[in-house]
Amino acid sequence: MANPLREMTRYTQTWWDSARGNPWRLAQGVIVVAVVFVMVTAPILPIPQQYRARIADIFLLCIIYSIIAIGLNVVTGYTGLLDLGIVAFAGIGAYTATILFDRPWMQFPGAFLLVLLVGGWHAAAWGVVRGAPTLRLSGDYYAIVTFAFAEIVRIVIRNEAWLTGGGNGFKNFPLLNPLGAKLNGGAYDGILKTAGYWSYPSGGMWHSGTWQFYYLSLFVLVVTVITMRRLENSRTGRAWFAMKADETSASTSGINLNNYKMVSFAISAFFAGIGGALLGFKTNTVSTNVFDFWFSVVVLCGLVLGGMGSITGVVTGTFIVYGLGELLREQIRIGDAVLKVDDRARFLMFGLLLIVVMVFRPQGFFPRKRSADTGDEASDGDASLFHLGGRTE
Amino acid sequence: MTSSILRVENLTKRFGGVVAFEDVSFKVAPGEITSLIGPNGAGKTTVFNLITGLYDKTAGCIWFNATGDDPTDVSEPVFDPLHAAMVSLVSAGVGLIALAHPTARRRLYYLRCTPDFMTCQGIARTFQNSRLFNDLSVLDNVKVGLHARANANAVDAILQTLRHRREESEIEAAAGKYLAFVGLAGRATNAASDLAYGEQRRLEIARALATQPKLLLLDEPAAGMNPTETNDLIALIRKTRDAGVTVFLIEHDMKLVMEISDRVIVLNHGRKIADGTPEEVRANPEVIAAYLGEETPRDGKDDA
Repeated sequence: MANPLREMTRYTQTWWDSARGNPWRLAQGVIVVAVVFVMVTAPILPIPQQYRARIADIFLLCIIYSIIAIGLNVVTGYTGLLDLGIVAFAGIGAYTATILFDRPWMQFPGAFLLVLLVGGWHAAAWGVVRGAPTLRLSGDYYAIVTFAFAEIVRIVIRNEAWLTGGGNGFKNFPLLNPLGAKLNGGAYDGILKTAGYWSYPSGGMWHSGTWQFYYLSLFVLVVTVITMRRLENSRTGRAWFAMKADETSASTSGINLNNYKMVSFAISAFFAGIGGALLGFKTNTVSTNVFDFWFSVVVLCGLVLGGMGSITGVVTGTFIVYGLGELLREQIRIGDAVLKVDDRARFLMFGLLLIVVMVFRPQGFFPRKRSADTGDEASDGDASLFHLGGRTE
Repeated sequence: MTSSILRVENLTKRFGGVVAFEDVSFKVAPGEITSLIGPNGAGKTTVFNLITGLYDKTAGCIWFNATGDDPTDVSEPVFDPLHAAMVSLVSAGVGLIALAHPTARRRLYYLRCTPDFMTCQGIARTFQNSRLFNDLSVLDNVKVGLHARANANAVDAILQTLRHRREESEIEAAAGKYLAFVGLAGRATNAASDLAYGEQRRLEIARALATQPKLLLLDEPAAGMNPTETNDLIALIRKTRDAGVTVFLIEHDMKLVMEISDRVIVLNHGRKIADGTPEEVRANPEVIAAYLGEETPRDGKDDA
């Protein structure tokens, strides 16, 4: 994806070509355009404030989880290793960003973006640490290690209360100005004393319900998607796909399996970390109750539903899972009757949805296309890499 | 001694107590087509797996001479300081104790040549049952083969640096040429799994050639092919040899072997029993015995 605009034009063209005379394809396009339109305009839609806030809130949640799911997709969809511990990196990212952002000297413009990046880098470092001893594992064995690592991270966070607030975690985050500096964090005098018991006055400019935060998250998602599209069509991406298809012939094709696995672990953890940090600020809560095992499972559920290895699929699946999860929280009043799905039953819906999708479309909604979509463009590149021409011509 | 691109010396491989082959020595001359034949279970594929770094040897040497004047023993593990530092670090110094013990030291601190290293050195191979990347397109399969000849990393791709863009266009163009070389130019956008069997074998050769090898190992390239496909394959192997790639192949199809080989090596029960031109090997009594069984002198009474 050298040029996002050209890519979008090409997508539209392909869709229009296949949509003529195909109502399902046409509807698909209309739905996508409608959802994208609402996603982009959600915080500024001219509708009553309470609906706008709720819609923006649901979309924001979907956007942030999409970032985490795209991170997970690198290991699970591209490299082909089942990862049940993405929550570890989301958690590390969230805690790192929160703890760092709370330092009194974090007052300069752009501080918020900096802590997001540091959260991602810290998560990536742990991705490498977890990856190094697991390079030879695959399948169920790898999945068990990732699960175990996530549990270790959770238990450490829960017990090291001097740093992480223990079971309480962190609540009520400071407010930001649009440049990402805290408006009211200056009075705070150190994490050791009051971890878990912060209290800031409300009424600042930029808390997680504002359009600034919304568009920041959307921007991060767009950057993530562009990054992934670029990686997919690169030497690195091809190495990942080759490893997923067949490790032996990938390595006899000159791919250093260990190096490329490590790169995928680091990139995966990086985006999960950034997503986790955003999620912490969005929900105004960072605690081990949010970052628990089911977090990993639900993100993975979205991945399977949408189609592993495909960005469109992953984002669609995540939007369905979390969008549905939030919509099912709503109460519907008809006269005196109140229709509401029990909170515990919401997860049953996921199970049902997953079963239905797996029966009718086992590869997910938008699986990765197998044939090249760029092959018809005649390449005018320099073929100096071709080495068999010397003697025959 | 004539120069050889590959020289195997006293190579031995045991799986536990089972001896795959013992004390096998042979040479592959550059620019020639050499065949490795032998009955099933003779250890042919194991030889290939050792040469390409998929297996660890038990004993012996594999000298690979990519440039013509500098043979290196690619089967010998080498001391890698970075790896050694990592081992010491991860084991929190406990690993240092292993330095005192020769076997443990070798296991922990030395790295053997992995398949990707062999490929970068200039040894490519195909497999007995074609192992393509079925999810990828035909063109992408070949592009993966060009992996070893490019340098752009993930950061280059994310930032779309000049190096990435230049290499991508070079890879795209070169991949098309390798496809054309094996006669698959029209199938570039198909999924690899959609190809016919014979085409899949040729795609595997294209992928191996794209790694730009000095030595190409083909493991039973004609297995399961009809006579027309076999003839096409013979032409392709000759064309590859003429383009400057030394070919070393395992094959059961004697017609193909005798027709294209400059030299034939025969393995039987993990032992080399013959080595020479096709004519010499065909006349060798030990080879005839291995393939057809021994002639037993008949008894007069049975005859009656």
